[in-house]
Amino acid sequence: MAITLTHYLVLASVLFVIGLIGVMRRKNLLMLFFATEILLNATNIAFAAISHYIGDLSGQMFAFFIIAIAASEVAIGLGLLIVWYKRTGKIDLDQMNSMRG
Amino acid sequence: MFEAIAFYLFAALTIVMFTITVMTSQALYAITAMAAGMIFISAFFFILGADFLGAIQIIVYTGAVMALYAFGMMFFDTTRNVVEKRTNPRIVFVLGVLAAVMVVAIFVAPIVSNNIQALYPIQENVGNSQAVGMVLFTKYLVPFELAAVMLLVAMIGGIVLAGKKMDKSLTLMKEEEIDGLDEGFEPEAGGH
Amino acid sequence: MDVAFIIETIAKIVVILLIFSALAGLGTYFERKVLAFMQRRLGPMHVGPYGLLQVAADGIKLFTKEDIVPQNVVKPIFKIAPVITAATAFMASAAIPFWPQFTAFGYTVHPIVADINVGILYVLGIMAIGLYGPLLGGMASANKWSLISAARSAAIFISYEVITGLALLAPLMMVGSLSLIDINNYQAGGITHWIVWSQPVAFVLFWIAAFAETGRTPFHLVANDHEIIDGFGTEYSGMRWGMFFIGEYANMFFISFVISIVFLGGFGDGTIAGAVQLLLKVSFFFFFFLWTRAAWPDIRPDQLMWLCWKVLMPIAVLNVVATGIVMMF
Repeated sequence: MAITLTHYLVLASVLFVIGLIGVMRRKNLLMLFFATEILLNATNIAFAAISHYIGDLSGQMFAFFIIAIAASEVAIGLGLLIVWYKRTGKIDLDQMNSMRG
Repeated sequence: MFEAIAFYLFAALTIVMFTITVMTSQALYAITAMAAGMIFISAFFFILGADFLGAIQIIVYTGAVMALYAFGMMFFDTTRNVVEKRTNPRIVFVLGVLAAVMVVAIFVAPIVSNNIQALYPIQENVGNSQAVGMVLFTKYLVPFELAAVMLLVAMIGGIVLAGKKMDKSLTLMKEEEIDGLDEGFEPEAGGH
Repeated sequence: MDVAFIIETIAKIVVILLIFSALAGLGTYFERKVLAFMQRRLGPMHVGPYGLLQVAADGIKLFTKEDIVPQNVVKPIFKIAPVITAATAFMASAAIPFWPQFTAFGYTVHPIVADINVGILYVLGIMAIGLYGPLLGGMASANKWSLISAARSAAIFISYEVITGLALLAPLMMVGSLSLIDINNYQAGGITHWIVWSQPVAFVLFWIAAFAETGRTPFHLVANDHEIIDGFGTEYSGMRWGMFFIGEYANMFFISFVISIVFLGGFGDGTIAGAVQLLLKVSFFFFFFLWTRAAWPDIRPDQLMWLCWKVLMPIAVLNVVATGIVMMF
């Protein structure tokens, strides 16, 4: 019952797909952000697992940079959402169609 | 043996938690399940020997990112049911499963994994945090600095976007003054 | 992984749980006594000698009280929130060495559950998760005071984590290890080797931030009695409310341990004298929490944020930079 790299990669892809379904399904922007965080975390697991099984630290480095990207995403994303909410009072994706040509 | 038990336990817990996050219509369930899922993911990092990454995962994701989302939830008044219009649920699942099959096919393709070589082997005699530090501050120094600049830009962006009219204290104003503030704000907002 | 190791670990976990649950109960007694003496009262006197059995009486009351779950709350989250506070407080204790290693009946015991090599980061991280108790409890309650309290707890915890992290960075740069045992051994040479002499600024910063992390009086804004009743605890009753309390007091003890080990030499060279010293240091820090509560008023939320971002954080960053420059030359 040894756990191999494939186990971790399958787990990562399952989580990635859950996140993908969330991205396609959600209309509330805050809930949509949650789904994107799931995507980032799934890739993090894959990177850490590859780093462990190949014996190379680069995978962990990429995971660190992904965490940094997630932190920036939250700061900017929530800032934009606050501006949008102040203007419209809603954070629904379907309402964001003012640029329809 | 222990590794297998831990892996399957945390895998099941993570999948259940993230499924709740994606599927529920109750915003509080979503954020609680999300935070729990993040902590369970750090368990994988501890199993894989990436202790430093696991601790960072707990501190950054659970301590900061999800708390910021909780703050956003209170701000946007979405602490109860989230009403969303569902257009076509079936196509979402079909696309999701198709993507799953493709991702698994790409990952398990033997061509990819056979050509990977360890460029920065994990040193045996130092702990994980020392090893991470050595690689991070030699080979990945430039990306590290760029990430620092990116975080600075994100911080300034967040302050500028969210911090408009922060110098006016609503608690010290009268009710009419606050209303007047809104009216003064509207033409500017309606200018788009 | 042999059986002896598993049994030993489980025994340690049980002992720590029992001791610190009891201490959390006794902590309420000490708090009432200390506050009473500072206000020229006697405090609890009726139950048992000097009111010592008041703890048991409070426990019986909390356990047998009716567990009320109000109507419009989000029930599962409302029920799980106090458990999060108590559980995270005890989870954080896994990486804290409470006592030097000793030999009993020919068997060497390490009084630490897991000496992971990122010890202090782990403790900080788990203490950061502790914010989910007040946060989720406040958001799940159908009560505006609870909601305000939840918002405050999110703001305070996120802000003051920056201070704890930056304040600890300077001592960690000197030690070169994240394990609390290594940090302790670095200062094993006696009182002149304590980190507090070389890092006084970091010590004061961390101490201030500890009040915010545990939510004690100058920064007791998450459950400020005179403006938001009991904050996140307003809707709770019985043992659920008691669990918030156990978590808070256990957190006070654990953060006292962390301050003593990182800045004040911990248990020194590992003799019995050093171990007793550690307990005395921890008792002093715990007493200081109560002392501050008797002596200081609460500050306003905006003053708290001003203190964090405009005073403490620049000082912490300058401290890190100065330590780096000194270490380089």
